[in-house]
Amino acid sequence: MTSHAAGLALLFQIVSFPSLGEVVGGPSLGWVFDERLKVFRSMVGPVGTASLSKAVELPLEVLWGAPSPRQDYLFVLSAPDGQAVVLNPTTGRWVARPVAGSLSRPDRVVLSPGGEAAVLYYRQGHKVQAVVGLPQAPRVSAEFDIGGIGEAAAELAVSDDGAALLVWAQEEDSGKLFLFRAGDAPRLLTAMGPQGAVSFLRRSRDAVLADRRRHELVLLRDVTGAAQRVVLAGEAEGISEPVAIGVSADNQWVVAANAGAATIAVADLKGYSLRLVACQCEPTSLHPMNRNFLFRLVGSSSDPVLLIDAGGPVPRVLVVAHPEYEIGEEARR
Amino acid sequence: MRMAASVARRSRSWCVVLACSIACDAGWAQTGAQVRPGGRLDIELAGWSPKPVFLAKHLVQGPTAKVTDENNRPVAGAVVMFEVEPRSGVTFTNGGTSVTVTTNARGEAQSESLRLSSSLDWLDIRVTASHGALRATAIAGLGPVPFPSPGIPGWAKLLIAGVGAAGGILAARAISSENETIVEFGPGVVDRPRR
Repeated sequence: MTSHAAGLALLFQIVSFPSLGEVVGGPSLGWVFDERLKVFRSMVGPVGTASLSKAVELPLEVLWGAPSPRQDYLFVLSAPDGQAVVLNPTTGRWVARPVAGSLSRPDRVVLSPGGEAAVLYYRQGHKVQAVVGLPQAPRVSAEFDIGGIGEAAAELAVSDDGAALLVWAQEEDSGKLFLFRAGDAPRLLTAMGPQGAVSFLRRSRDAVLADRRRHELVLLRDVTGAAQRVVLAGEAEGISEPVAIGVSADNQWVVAANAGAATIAVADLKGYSLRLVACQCEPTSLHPMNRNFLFRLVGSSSDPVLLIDAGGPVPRVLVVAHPEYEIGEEARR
Repeated sequence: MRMAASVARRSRSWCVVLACSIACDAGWAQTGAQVRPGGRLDIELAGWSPKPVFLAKHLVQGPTAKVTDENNRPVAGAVVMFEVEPRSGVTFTNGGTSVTVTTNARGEAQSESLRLSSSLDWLDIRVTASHGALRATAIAGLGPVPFPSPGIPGWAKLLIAGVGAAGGILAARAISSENETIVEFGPGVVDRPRR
């Protein structure tokens, strides 16, 4: 760590830890959090022949974690109390920064599309905390009471500036999308099905949503203004029970995972084209990796780690090699 | 051993997946890969707000769709269909749950008004524009929409007032006949005096 960084660490009471791992400093494609073993692995190598490393050594024990969309930090809930902490890789070290003002043990953490903000959702108190200043000075900037809009928040999305929060409220057999902004009353944007996914575009007030029941991908233009909705693709074009959605780093493409057809849809946000590719998996979520058009597809626990490379003329589904796959669960760590 | 067999099974399974993926890719390449043809339409719901604009009792203004092409030029002659869900209880003024309008030279198509039968939490109006092989869909949301309570006709108001006044006079007479002081607060409303 440089003396400048050390000074900053002292100034903000940041604790830095020496790293024992071999991959601090940035893997080529990003990190993957192993939910079962509570460890991060790095994904290395060219896209076509990527593989996962052994568990990365971290300075603290982790209950849950997620890499940032740009793969420049890890957002974790530390053991044993579930404190939100940001882990920054610096030269040879991890720097841990607790999120100032955050409550412990959120039920869900959602990062903004560019990773500059996040939201922490607490189901018990119907509360959401917005976090800004990521990754260098993470702090809670606003708190929202979402108790008045329904039983539970099925999905959440936050804009990169942390100022706009979308909450997909689940009702018995339907859902509603609400916009929350600090100081404003919640605003109903649309009624939808009970399940799906929603995400802002990077550094934008536009958002995309996948409506599982209506089999549609929808672009919401300017959610804090007119909030006009344009259907990007529907059932006739191969969208079938979409459950996950992601946006390319350049905001040009949206990628959706169709649970109904076991396919991945790649749609041009300008509405010119839509491409489908079979994944033969049970997709549940999509996570951006360290390339513009590269996403990690999370499926059922028996599925291997998959990558969606949407950058070429034809989208590709790639299996990521896991060097410890044949050894057995006990030896993975 | 069981684990190794399981892994082997899974590995075989994923070889098949890869092969299929490659085959699918090849298929896409041969068929042009794209579901949607070249060019595009765009729909702008200019000036639309979810807040209802009542034109008359139970009648709410519908959206206007502006249809443009990929160069943002208005598309004249595009067929625009406005639809509401049949179970919503809302119809257009034509009595149906959909209405079709052709865009004018400015690329605009104005929907008919919407007739309500009850209050609405939320209503989606689906707007689909078609022009040649091109198609685009937008959704206009409306809500919440209060259902205006039926007004009381003038003759009924007069009748109610008359009945009320007559009741008050009768009550006053009845109490006066008992030689008591009456304090009137309005027609039909009396306060019994303290003894």
